[in-house]
Amino acid sequence: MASIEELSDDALLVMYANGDRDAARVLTLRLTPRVFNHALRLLGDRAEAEDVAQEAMLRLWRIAPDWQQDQAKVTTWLYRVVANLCTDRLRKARPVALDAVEEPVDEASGPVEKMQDRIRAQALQRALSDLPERQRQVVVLRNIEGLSNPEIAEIMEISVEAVESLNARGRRRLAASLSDKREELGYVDAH
Amino acid sequence: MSTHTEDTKDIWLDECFAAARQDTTAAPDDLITKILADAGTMQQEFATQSLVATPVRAGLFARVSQALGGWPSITGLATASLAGVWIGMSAPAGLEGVTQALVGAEAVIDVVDQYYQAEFELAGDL
Repeated sequence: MASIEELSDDALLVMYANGDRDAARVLTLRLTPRVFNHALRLLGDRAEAEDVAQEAMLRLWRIAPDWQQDQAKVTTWLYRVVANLCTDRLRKARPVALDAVEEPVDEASGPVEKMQDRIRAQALQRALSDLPERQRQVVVLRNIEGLSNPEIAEIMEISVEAVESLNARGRRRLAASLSDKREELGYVDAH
Repeated sequence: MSTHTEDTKDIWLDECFAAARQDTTAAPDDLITKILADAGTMQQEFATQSLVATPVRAGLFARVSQALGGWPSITGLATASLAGVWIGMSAPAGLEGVTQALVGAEAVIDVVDQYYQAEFELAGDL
Protein backbone atom coordinates (compact mmCIF):
# COMPACT_ATOMS: atom_id res chain seq x y z
CA MET A 1 0.00 0.00 0.00
CA ALA A 2 1.35 3.41 -1.01
CA SER A 3 2.34 5.78 1.75
CA ILE A 4 0.63 9.15 1.85
CA GLU A 5 3.79 10.87 0.61
CA GLU A 6 3.51 8.92 -2.64
CA LEU A 7 -0.02 10.04 -3.43
CA SER A 8 -0.70 12.57 -6.18
CA ASP A 9 -1.48 16.19 -5.41
CA ASP A 10 -5.03 15.63 -6.65
CA ALA A 11 -5.63 12.70 -4.35
CA LEU A 12 -4.17 14.55 -1.38
CA LEU A 13 -6.36 17.55 -2.08
CA VAL A 14 -9.48 15.39 -2.03
CA MET A 15 -8.32 13.84 1.24
CA TYR A 16 -7.67 17.31 2.63
CA ALA A 17 -11.19 18.43 1.70
CA ASN A 18 -12.49 15.41 3.58
CA GLY A 19 -10.71 16.52 6.74
CA ASP A 20 -7.44 14.60 6.53
CA ARG A 21 -4.76 16.56 8.39
CA ASP A 22 -1.88 14.45 7.14
CA ALA A 23 -2.86 15.34 3.58
CA ALA A 24 -2.64 19.02 4.52
CA ARG A 25 0.82 18.50 5.95
CA VAL A 26 2.14 16.57 2.95
CA LEU A 27 0.71 19.08 0.47
CA THR A 28 2.13 21.99 2.44
CA LEU A 29 5.62 20.51 2.62
CA ARG A 30 5.51 19.45 -1.02
CA LEU A 31 4.08 22.59 -2.62
CA THR A 32 5.15 25.49 -0.44
CA PRO A 33 8.87 25.45 -1.42
CA ARG A 34 7.92 25.45 -5.08
CA VAL A 35 5.35 28.20 -4.70
CA PHE A 36 7.62 30.29 -2.51
CA ASN A 37 10.64 30.00 -4.80
CA HIS A 38 8.59 30.77 -7.87
CA ALA A 39 7.16 33.88 -6.21
CA LEU A 40 10.65 34.85 -5.06
CA ARG A 41 11.98 34.60 -8.62
CA LEU A 42 9.14 36.67 -9.99
CA LEU A 43 9.17 39.31 -7.25
CA GLY A 44 12.75 39.32 -6.04
CA ASP A 45 11.52 40.11 -2.55
CA ARG A 46 11.43 37.56 0.22
CA ALA A 47 8.70 39.11 2.35
CA GLU A 48 6.45 39.62 -0.66
CA ALA A 49 7.15 36.08 -1.84
CA GLU A 50 6.13 34.72 1.57
CA ASP A 51 2.86 36.64 1.43
CA VAL A 52 2.15 35.38 -2.06
CA ALA A 53 2.96 31.80 -1.11
CA GLN A 54 0.64 31.95 1.90
CA GLU A 55 -2.16 33.50 -0.14
CA ALA A 56 -1.76 31.00 -3.00
CA MET A 57 -1.90 28.07 -0.59
CA LEU A 58 -4.91 29.56 1.17
CA ARG A 59 -6.69 29.73 -2.18
CA LEU A 60 -5.80 26.11 -2.75
CA TRP A 61 -7.33 25.12 0.59
CA ARG A 62 -10.45 27.10 -0.24
CA ILE A 63 -10.97 25.47 -3.61
CA ALA A 64 -10.28 21.94 -2.33
CA PRO A 65 -13.94 20.87 -1.80
CA ASP A 66 -14.78 21.92 -5.36
CA TRP A 67 -11.59 20.61 -6.97
CA GLN A 68 -12.27 18.63 -10.12
CA GLN A 69 -9.50 16.15 -10.72
CA ASP A 70 -9.86 16.26 -14.48
CA GLN A 71 -9.61 20.03 -14.87
CA ALA A 72 -5.91 20.81 -14.36
CA LYS A 73 -2.86 19.76 -12.43
CA VAL A 74 -2.68 21.25 -8.96
CA THR A 75 0.75 22.70 -9.71
CA THR A 76 -0.47 24.28 -12.95
CA TRP A 77 -3.34 25.87 -11.05
CA LEU A 78 -0.94 27.08 -8.35
CA TYR A 79 1.52 28.57 -10.83
CA ARG A 80 -1.36 30.51 -12.35
CA VAL A 81 -2.46 31.82 -8.96
CA VAL A 82 1.10 32.80 -8.08
CA ALA A 83 1.52 34.51 -11.45
CA ASN A 84 -1.66 36.53 -10.93
CA LEU A 85 -0.78 37.45 -7.36
CA CYS A 86 2.71 38.51 -8.39
CA THR A 87 1.35 40.55 -11.28
CA ASP A 88 -0.97 42.40 -8.91
CA ARG A 89 1.90 43.15 -6.55
CA LEU A 90 4.30 44.18 -9.28
CA ARG A 91 1.76 46.65 -10.66
CA LYS A 92 1.18 48.19 -7.26
CA ALA A 93 4.75 48.06 -6.01
CA ARG A 94 7.51 50.54 -6.40
CA PRO A 95 10.49 49.42 -8.51
CA VAL A 96 12.80 47.16 -6.57
CA ALA A 97 16.34 48.38 -6.33
CA LEU A 98 18.80 45.86 -7.66
CA ASP A 99 20.65 45.78 -4.38
CA ALA A 100 17.44 44.84 -2.62
CA VAL A 101 17.07 41.61 -4.57
CA GLU A 102 17.13 38.84 -2.08
CA GLU A 103 20.18 36.70 -2.03
CA PRO A 104 19.33 33.05 -1.64
CA VAL A 105 20.58 31.35 1.47
CA ASP A 106 23.54 29.15 0.80
CA GLU A 107 23.88 26.42 3.34
CA ALA A 108 26.86 24.73 1.73
CA SER A 109 30.01 26.77 1.49
CA GLY A 110 33.04 25.30 -0.13
CA PRO A 111 33.78 24.38 -3.70
CA VAL A 112 34.56 27.14 -6.14
CA GLU A 113 31.96 25.76 -8.54
CA LYS A 114 29.23 26.27 -5.99
CA MET A 115 30.32 29.81 -5.39
CA GLN A 116 30.33 30.37 -9.14
CA ASP A 117 26.84 28.96 -9.42
CA ARG A 118 25.70 31.29 -6.65
CA ILE A 119 27.11 34.27 -8.47
CA ARG A 120 25.45 33.20 -11.72
CA ALA A 121 22.11 32.61 -10.05
CA GLN A 122 22.21 35.99 -8.34
CA ALA A 123 23.21 37.80 -11.52
CA LEU A 124 20.42 36.04 -13.38
CA GLN A 125 17.91 36.98 -10.69
CA ARG A 126 18.89 40.63 -10.98
CA ALA A 127 18.62 40.51 -14.76
CA LEU A 128 15.23 38.78 -14.48
CA SER A 129 13.98 41.64 -12.33
CA ASP A 130 14.56 43.97 -15.28
CA LEU A 131 12.46 41.94 -17.72
CA PRO A 132 8.89 42.95 -18.49
CA GLU A 133 6.56 41.02 -16.26
CA ARG A 134 5.12 38.60 -18.87
CA GLN A 135 8.54 37.80 -20.31
CA ARG A 136 9.86 37.19 -16.82
CA GLN A 137 7.04 34.78 -16.02
CA VAL A 138 7.55 32.79 -19.20
CA VAL A 139 11.33 32.72 -18.89
CA VAL A 140 11.18 31.53 -15.29
CA LEU A 141 8.50 28.90 -15.95
CA ARG A 142 10.28 27.60 -19.05
CA ASN A 143 13.95 27.81 -18.17
CA ILE A 144 14.03 27.47 -14.40
CA GLU A 145 10.86 25.60 -13.45
CA GLY A 146 11.27 23.44 -16.56
CA LEU A 147 7.64 23.48 -17.69
CA SER A 148 6.63 22.78 -21.28
CA ASN A 149 5.31 25.48 -23.59
CA PRO A 150 1.74 24.06 -23.56
CA GLU A 151 1.77 23.99 -19.76
CA ILE A 152 2.92 27.60 -19.63
CA ALA A 153 0.28 28.54 -22.19
CA GLU A 154 -2.35 27.00 -19.93
CA ILE A 155 -1.00 28.76 -16.84
CA MET A 156 -0.82 32.16 -18.50
CA GLU A 157 -3.90 31.65 -20.65
CA ILE A 158 -2.12 32.55 -23.85
CA SER A 159 -1.23 30.62 -27.01
CA VAL A 160 1.80 28.36 -27.30
CA GLU A 161 3.12 30.66 -30.02
CA ALA A 162 2.90 33.61 -27.63
CA VAL A 163 4.84 31.60 -25.04
CA GLU A 164 7.56 30.83 -27.56
CA SER A 165 7.76 34.46 -28.59
CA LEU A 166 7.91 35.78 -25.02
CA ASN A 167 10.54 33.21 -24.11
CA ALA A 168 12.73 34.02 -27.10
CA ARG A 169 12.51 37.75 -26.46
CA GLY A 170 13.14 37.29 -22.75
CA ARG A 171 16.19 35.16 -23.37
CA ARG A 172 17.61 37.63 -25.87
CA ARG A 173 17.14 40.43 -23.41
CA LEU A 174 18.73 38.45 -20.59
CA ALA A 175 21.67 37.55 -22.80
CA ALA A 176 22.17 41.20 -23.71
CA SER A 177 21.85 42.23 -20.08
CA LEU A 178 24.33 39.64 -18.82
CA SER A 179 26.76 39.70 -21.71
CA ASP A 180 28.99 42.37 -20.19
CA LYS A 181 29.17 40.34 -16.97
CA ARG A 182 30.34 37.14 -18.62
CA GLU A 183 33.82 37.44 -17.23
CA GLU A 184 32.68 37.76 -13.64
CA LEU A 185 30.27 34.89 -14.26
CA GLY A 186 33.21 32.70 -15.26
CA TYR A 187 32.72 32.72 -19.03
CA VAL A 188 36.01 34.20 -20.13
CA ASP A 189 36.18 31.85 -23.12
CA ALA A 190 32.58 32.14 -24.07
CA HIS A 191 33.05 34.27 -27.19
CA MET B 1 15.15 18.77 -16.45
CA SER B 2 16.05 19.89 -19.91
CA THR B 3 17.87 22.95 -21.03
CA HIS B 4 16.49 25.03 -23.84
CA THR B 5 19.28 25.73 -26.21
CA GLU B 6 16.81 25.62 -29.12
CA ASP B 7 15.75 29.14 -28.24
CA THR B 8 19.15 30.73 -28.57
CA LYS B 9 22.72 29.57 -28.95
CA ASP B 10 23.60 31.02 -25.54
CA ILE B 11 24.72 27.88 -23.77
CA TRP B 12 26.25 30.01 -21.05
CA LEU B 13 22.79 31.45 -20.41
CA ASP B 14 21.41 27.94 -19.97
CA GLU B 15 24.16 27.32 -17.45
CA CYS B 16 22.98 30.38 -15.55
CA PHE B 17 19.45 28.95 -15.57
CA ALA B 18 20.78 25.62 -14.36
CA ALA B 19 22.56 27.43 -11.53
CA ALA B 20 19.33 29.24 -10.67
CA ARG B 21 17.43 25.93 -10.58
CA GLN B 22 19.87 24.59 -8.02
CA ASP B 23 19.86 27.78 -6.02
CA THR B 24 16.56 27.37 -4.23
CA THR B 25 15.67 29.05 -0.97
CA ALA B 26 14.16 26.96 1.78
CA ALA B 27 10.65 27.99 2.67
CA PRO B 28 10.84 29.61 6.12
CA ASP B 29 9.49 27.57 9.02
CA ASP B 30 7.09 30.29 10.09
CA LEU B 31 5.63 30.35 6.58
CA ILE B 32 5.04 26.60 6.77
CA THR B 33 3.45 27.07 10.20
CA LYS B 34 1.12 29.80 8.92
CA ILE B 35 0.08 27.74 5.90
CA LEU B 36 -0.64 24.70 8.05
CA ALA B 37 -2.69 26.89 10.40
CA ASP B 38 -4.68 28.20 7.42
CA ALA B 39 -5.24 24.63 6.27
CA GLY B 40 -6.59 23.67 9.69
CA THR B 41 -8.86 26.71 9.85
CA MET B 42 -10.31 25.96 6.43
CA GLN B 43 -10.90 22.32 7.34
CA GLN B 44 -12.87 23.44 10.40
CA GLU B 45 -14.94 25.73 8.19
CA PHE B 46 -15.66 22.87 5.80
CA ALA B 47 -16.81 20.71 8.70
CA THR B 48 -19.09 23.46 10.03
CA GLN B 49 -20.52 24.16 6.59
CA SER B 50 -21.25 20.51 5.94
CA LEU B 51 -23.09 20.23 9.28
CA VAL B 52 -25.24 23.24 8.45
CA ALA B 53 -25.78 22.40 4.83
CA THR B 54 -26.50 18.66 5.11
CA PRO B 55 -30.20 18.37 4.26
CA VAL B 56 -32.25 16.00 6.43
CA ARG B 57 -34.00 13.63 4.08
CA ALA B 58 -37.71 14.23 4.42
CA GLY B 59 -40.09 11.32 5.06
CA LEU B 60 -42.79 10.22 2.63
CA PHE B 61 -45.56 12.13 4.40
CA ALA B 62 -43.47 15.29 4.53
CA ARG B 63 -42.62 15.02 0.84
CA VAL B 64 -46.31 14.42 -0.13
CA SER B 65 -47.35 17.29 2.11
CA GLN B 66 -44.75 19.51 0.49
CA ALA B 67 -45.89 18.47 -2.99
CA LEU B 68 -49.48 19.36 -2.17
CA GLY B 69 -48.58 22.78 -0.86
CA GLY B 70 -47.91 22.28 2.82
CA TRP B 71 -50.16 22.21 5.87
CA PRO B 72 -52.81 24.71 4.65
CA SER B 73 -53.51 22.58 1.59
CA ILE B 74 -53.58 19.37 3.65
CA THR B 75 -56.09 20.93 6.07
CA GLY B 76 -58.35 22.06 3.24
CA LEU B 77 -58.14 18.67 1.56
CA ALA B 78 -59.03 16.87 4.79
CA THR B 79 -62.02 19.16 5.41
CA ALA B 80 -63.33 18.63 1.88
CA SER B 81 -62.93 14.85 2.23
CA LEU B 82 -64.82 14.77 5.53
CA ALA B 83 -67.60 16.91 4.08
CA GLY B 84 -67.93 14.51 1.14
CA VAL B 85 -68.18 11.53 3.43
CA TRP B 86 -70.76 13.29 5.59
CA ILE B 87 -72.86 14.23 2.55
CA GLY B 88 -72.70 10.65 1.30
CA MET B 89 -73.70 9.19 4.67
CA SER B 90 -76.59 11.52 5.37
CA ALA B 91 -77.74 13.19 2.20
CA PRO B 92 -79.83 16.20 3.08
CA ALA B 93 -83.48 16.04 1.97
CA GLY B 94 -83.07 19.08 -0.27
CA LEU B 95 -80.22 17.47 -2.15
CA GLU B 96 -82.43 14.59 -3.33
CA GLY B 97 -84.69 17.07 -5.13
CA VAL B 98 -81.73 18.65 -6.81
CA THR B 99 -80.50 15.25 -8.01
CA GLN B 100 -83.91 14.35 -9.43
CA ALA B 101 -84.16 17.66 -11.21
CA LEU B 102 -80.77 17.12 -12.83
CA VAL B 103 -80.87 13.47 -13.89
CA GLY B 104 -84.58 12.67 -13.70
CA ALA B 105 -86.42 10.52 -11.20
CA GLU B 106 -86.22 7.32 -13.27
CA ALA B 107 -82.80 7.81 -14.65
CA VAL B 108 -80.51 4.84 -14.68
CA ILE B 109 -76.91 5.64 -14.35
CA ASP B 110 -74.65 3.17 -16.08
CA VAL B 111 -71.57 2.70 -14.01
CA VAL B 112 -70.15 0.35 -16.70
CA ASP B 113 -69.92 1.34 -20.33
CA GLN B 114 -72.54 -0.37 -22.54
CA TYR B 115 -69.86 -1.95 -24.72
CA TYR B 116 -68.02 -3.53 -21.84
CA GLN B 117 -71.31 -4.67 -20.30
CA ALA B 118 -72.10 -6.58 -23.54
CA GLU B 119 -68.64 -8.15 -23.39
CA PHE B 120 -69.26 -9.26 -19.81
CA GLU B 121 -72.56 -10.83 -20.78
CA LEU B 122 -70.92 -12.68 -23.68
CA ALA B 123 -68.22 -13.95 -21.40
CA GLY B 124 -70.83 -15.12 -18.93
CA ASP B 125 -72.57 -17.12 -21.65
CA LEU B 126 -69.44 -19.09 -22.46
